[in-house]
Amino acid sequence: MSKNRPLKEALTTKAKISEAALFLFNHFGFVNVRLQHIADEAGLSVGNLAYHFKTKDEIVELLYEEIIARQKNLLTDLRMIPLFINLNSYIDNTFLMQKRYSFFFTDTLEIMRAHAAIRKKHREHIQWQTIQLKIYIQFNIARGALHSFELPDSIENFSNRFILLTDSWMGYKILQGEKISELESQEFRSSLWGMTAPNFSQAGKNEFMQMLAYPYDGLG
Amino acid sequence: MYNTKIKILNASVRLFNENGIDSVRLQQIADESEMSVGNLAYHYKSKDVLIEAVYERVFDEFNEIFRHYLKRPDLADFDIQISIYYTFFSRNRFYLSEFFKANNSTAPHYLQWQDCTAKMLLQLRSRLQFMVRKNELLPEKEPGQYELLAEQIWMSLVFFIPKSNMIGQHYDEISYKKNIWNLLRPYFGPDGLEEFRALIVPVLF
Amino acid sequence: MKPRFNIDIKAYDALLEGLNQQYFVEKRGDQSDFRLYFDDLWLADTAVIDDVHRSRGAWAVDLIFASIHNPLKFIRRHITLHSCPKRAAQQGEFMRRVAAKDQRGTLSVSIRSLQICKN
Repeated sequence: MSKNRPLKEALTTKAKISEAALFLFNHFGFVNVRLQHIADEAGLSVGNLAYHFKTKDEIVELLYEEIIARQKNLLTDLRMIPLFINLNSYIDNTFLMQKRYSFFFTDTLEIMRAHAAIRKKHREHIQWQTIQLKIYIQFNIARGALHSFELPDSIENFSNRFILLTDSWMGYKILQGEKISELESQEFRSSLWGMTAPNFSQAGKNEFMQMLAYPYDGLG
Repeated sequence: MYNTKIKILNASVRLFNENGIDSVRLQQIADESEMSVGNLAYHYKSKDVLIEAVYERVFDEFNEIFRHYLKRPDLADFDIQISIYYTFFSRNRFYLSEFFKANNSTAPHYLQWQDCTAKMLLQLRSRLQFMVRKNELLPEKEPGQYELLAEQIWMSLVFFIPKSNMIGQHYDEISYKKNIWNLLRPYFGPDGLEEFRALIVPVLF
Repeated sequence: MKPRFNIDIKAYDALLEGLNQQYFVEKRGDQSDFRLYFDDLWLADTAVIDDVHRSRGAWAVDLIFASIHNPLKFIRRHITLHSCPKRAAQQGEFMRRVAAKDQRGTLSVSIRSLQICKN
């Protein structure tokens, strides 16, 4: 029992620190935040903070792990039942996730350049993501909801395009001078569906219209 | 007379692309452009002056791209512009990460960058409208459809290279172009499709 | 960084719209558009009038070539500037006499051929 307590406390402190760091990264940009700021925000001394995280890099790595874990969860859900309605909820949840970790999606390029370890992991992760999406599209072509792709287009190209759009949408909106807190999932959704829509077959169109008509059906 | 300056600028852009603006020192730039630091300092007094010169040239190039609009009426016109975008963005990769790095939204080059991107978007929208009027693209099925398409094309033009680079995916001019034409393809009407097959598809293989 | 000329975004939009329009509206021109450049025979049948007037703080000498058949068809050419009005007038006189030389004698136009109605 006595051994458990400090461990539990350490966990909560760690969580507190990563929350504080996340807040600061999102608001002031990843490069502008220093350990001192994080310590102030979390209400700790720098020394105490250094006990948990030696560098800013360690915090980023932890946050990155969180992002990946969430993304993997979302995609696995999508893989189990690959209908349109599931893609829709995947898009919605991805939006919420991106909003929570917005610093990562707006500063991706900078983070990748500075952290070789994350870069390596992220490459693998994106490859995995592409494969998941490919499987999803293949399934939907097979069940007749999407048209098959005609050269020079291919499923692979489409998946890359889809992920490119997903990951750079937030950066684009920031560039347009919009605030992250005011972004709406509706816009994100219409942007991604807008890209998929030209490939709907008649059955796909029907399914899509039905989904719009009964938005909460099956979302559970 | 300007050869040395151009040599320095090219060397700086190469180094900025690889290491980011902050971590490049004048010594490295001097080594890369094969001259002494003293000689370099004669042309550009400080790193700030040099960075400014690099930015200035980048914006000149950027604005030059906008002139390639409807020089000819067919789809190849857009294809030519995409090629130029490719050359521009692959040569100035460092650029984007600088803009997404921090909220330095008051810096003069940031404002210029915003201005350029706004122009880019406007041009894309306007080009789509032109294609619709020329019956190459189908008329809008839902309102705002081509607005979304313009945004998607914009994102592909800007982010394709840095993101491919980031995830270690091989890219070249062909894959860059393919990515954009594939976005447009589903919207072609019969006329546009025919023109696309005759003019563009041969370029993509 | 030196400030760069930036076109207003709305104006730029209108400009692009104009460029789009051009393709549908504008037609290829033909030879007749260039008549202006080679059809200058009427200049042989013109009366020359000199005109001295103040311009930019000096005296300007202009020559007007008006068709004797239709005085409303004319061109005006600027010849020179002088700071002295007398010299300007003299110069105008000389230039007019040189320009007006014609085998048929000096051609002239009268105000009556303008057919002004004074009602």
